[in-house]
Amino acid sequence: MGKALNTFTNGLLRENPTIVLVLGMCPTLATTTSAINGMSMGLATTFVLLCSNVVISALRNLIPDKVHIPAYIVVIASFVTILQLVMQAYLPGLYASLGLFIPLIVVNCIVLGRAEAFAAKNGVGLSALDGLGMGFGFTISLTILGIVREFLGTGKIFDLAIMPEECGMLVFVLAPGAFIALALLMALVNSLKK
Amino acid sequence: MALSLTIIALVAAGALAGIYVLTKGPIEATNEANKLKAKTEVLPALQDKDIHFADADTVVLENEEKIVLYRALDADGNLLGTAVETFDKEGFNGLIKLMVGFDADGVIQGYSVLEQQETPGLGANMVKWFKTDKNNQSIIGRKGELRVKKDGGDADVDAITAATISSRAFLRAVNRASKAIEQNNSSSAQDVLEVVQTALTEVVEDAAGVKVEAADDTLKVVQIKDTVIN
Amino acid sequence: MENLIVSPAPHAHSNDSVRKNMLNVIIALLPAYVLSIVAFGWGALIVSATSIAACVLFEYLIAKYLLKQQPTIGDLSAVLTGLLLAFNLPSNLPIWIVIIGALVAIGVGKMSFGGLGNNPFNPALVGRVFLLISFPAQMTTWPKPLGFAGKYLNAETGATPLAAMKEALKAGDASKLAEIDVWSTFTGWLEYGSMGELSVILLLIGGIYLLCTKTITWHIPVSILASVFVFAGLLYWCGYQGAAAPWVHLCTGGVMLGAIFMATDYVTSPMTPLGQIIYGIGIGLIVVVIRTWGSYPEGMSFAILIMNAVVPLLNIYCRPKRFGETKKA
Repeated sequence: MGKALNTFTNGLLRENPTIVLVLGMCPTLATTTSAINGMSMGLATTFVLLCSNVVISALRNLIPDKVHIPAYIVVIASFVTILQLVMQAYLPGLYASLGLFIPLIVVNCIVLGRAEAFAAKNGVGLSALDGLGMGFGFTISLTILGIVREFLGTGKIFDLAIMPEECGMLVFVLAPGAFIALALLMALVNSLKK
Repeated sequence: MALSLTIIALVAAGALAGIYVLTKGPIEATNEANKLKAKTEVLPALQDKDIHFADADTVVLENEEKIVLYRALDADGNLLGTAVETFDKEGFNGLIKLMVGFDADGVIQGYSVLEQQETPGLGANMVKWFKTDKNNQSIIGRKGELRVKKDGGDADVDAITAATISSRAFLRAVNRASKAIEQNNSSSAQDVLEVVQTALTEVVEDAAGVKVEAADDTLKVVQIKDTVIN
Repeated sequence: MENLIVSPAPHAHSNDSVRKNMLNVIIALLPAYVLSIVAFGWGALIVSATSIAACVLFEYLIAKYLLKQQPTIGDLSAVLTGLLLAFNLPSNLPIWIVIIGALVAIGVGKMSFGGLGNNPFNPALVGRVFLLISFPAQMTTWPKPLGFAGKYLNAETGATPLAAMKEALKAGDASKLAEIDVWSTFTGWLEYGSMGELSVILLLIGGIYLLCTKTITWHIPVSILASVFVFAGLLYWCGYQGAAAPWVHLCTGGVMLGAIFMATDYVTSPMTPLGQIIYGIGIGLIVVVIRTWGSYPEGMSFAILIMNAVVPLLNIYCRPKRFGETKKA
């Protein structure tokens, strides 16, 4: 039980994919223009992480070592495509705003990284927890980054206007602001850890 | 080794095929709805009415540019408004594409920006600027050729602050749409005249000199030869 | 001898000589500063005072409470950053925006890297570019000089010569350039622009003062101005549609200010003469490219920041030969 809890909380803070492992930077910087986008991206990645970790863990003894990378990619790509089709059909608004970054989940380093580092060596239950933990850690950091960028950039959080929009610093909605905001967030977390 | 990879691939393909079939219907429906939404949102006055859009009409302007428009017709086929897809290539950063909605008299009802690459915070504000009703910057309710205040003229529109070039490009696109509507209306009027002409020539025996002209909404039939029929 | 350790440059200067150099630069900026107050009135005073005060305050606070170090505001580098930042801003910018600019310039541009001597980018320019991207509308409307020296926020606004140049380039039509009165951009009378962009003559006077006091060397300003002239001249004399004459490029916008005061910042410029010349040529090239084909009418701030990033590379490759050093076979 302790091990299970440990595995789950690992991804939340100790080895948070965004802040500590610094993985998956591309979707992090691109989709956190607003809080809801960041959160949705995180949840979509969590779904893929969970499914792919479970399947890969279940098959870990059946996949020969020489072809393990292509095999993992096929599994991951399948789940991402399923996610994409379902989103396109039932969540068209979100699908439109996340756009290109949904299929890019396939190459998100977190997914393949956890598959190699954890799911290939552990049981199904633990892998599922690891996937969930990493996914939630990712979601939390993306949501926080999204909130910061949306608030500083447009004065809104989750589309609720808090500050007048003219006071918003446009740079935070654009790429440079994403880097600056992420850097400041990492600095903050690092200084709190000390 | 190859066997396990093949099995995984087969299972994955099967699962994907299943999901694809399941979601095909809803996806198509969403795409149709999106296309319709693009046209109806620029014609807010017609949103509650029972209208359908005719197929795309392509109008070729004088300088060989092609503009596509969709006529909004009610159940009897009367023209209630038009949604026009227009563009301008000389935006500050390149191509701008708009959908502009006009009512039956050519008065602008609304617009939406389909594509633009202007500077964020400056030209990119065109998405909302020209719909906001203050300082003479809104184009809703206007008709005919529009220009920014700086360029003079009667229909002066207040340009986006510090983004004159983008504003000019936007208005040029809108003017293209207005011209396309005018041309389309006059050519459809021309079609009507031709139909009446052929109908009349079949009815009147001394047909050679029948000419049909349009003047001020009424049709005047002028016979070149002898009698004048009104 | 083993106890004497010489680490590679940049070396930490003792407070005194840093302060002396900063003071010289501030003095060199004074003529242009006075003119901008005359031309823009209260606005110029308010913006510059806020900028300087905010920069000093933020440096003090960050050094003392965040970095837990001895604050070094006595070396006047924060004052200079504040003044240079103000020179890059329109004088009708609201105070809260100026304060944000100062916070970013000092906090992100300087202190986050470890304070004076450690920053790779010119802090005033980091602040200015941050503001330009964040508040594009406010940062690109300038008040009319002498429009009403008493008004601050509500002064009549207009477009700068650079905006006219951009319009000419976009339209491919050089007739818009006739609106620019080149003589007045040189003397600085009655042109729209940021506070430091007004007078080429006064900035040149400041530059000569800096050269005489050996605060800067000629390499960077001359190579920047020469390369802007050459590249702009190439476009102009090859008949590029709508291109402005090279002397117009030299006298408009931040070229003179940047060449003399901002690109020559010790910390962010190369250490060797060869490196400095390459740095200057790079800046000149990028400025002309951005002004001609880029999205923004002004390219100097971006050009300097881009070349700041290249400086470490220049420092490695342009090292002068040590006495007796031979190339490895």
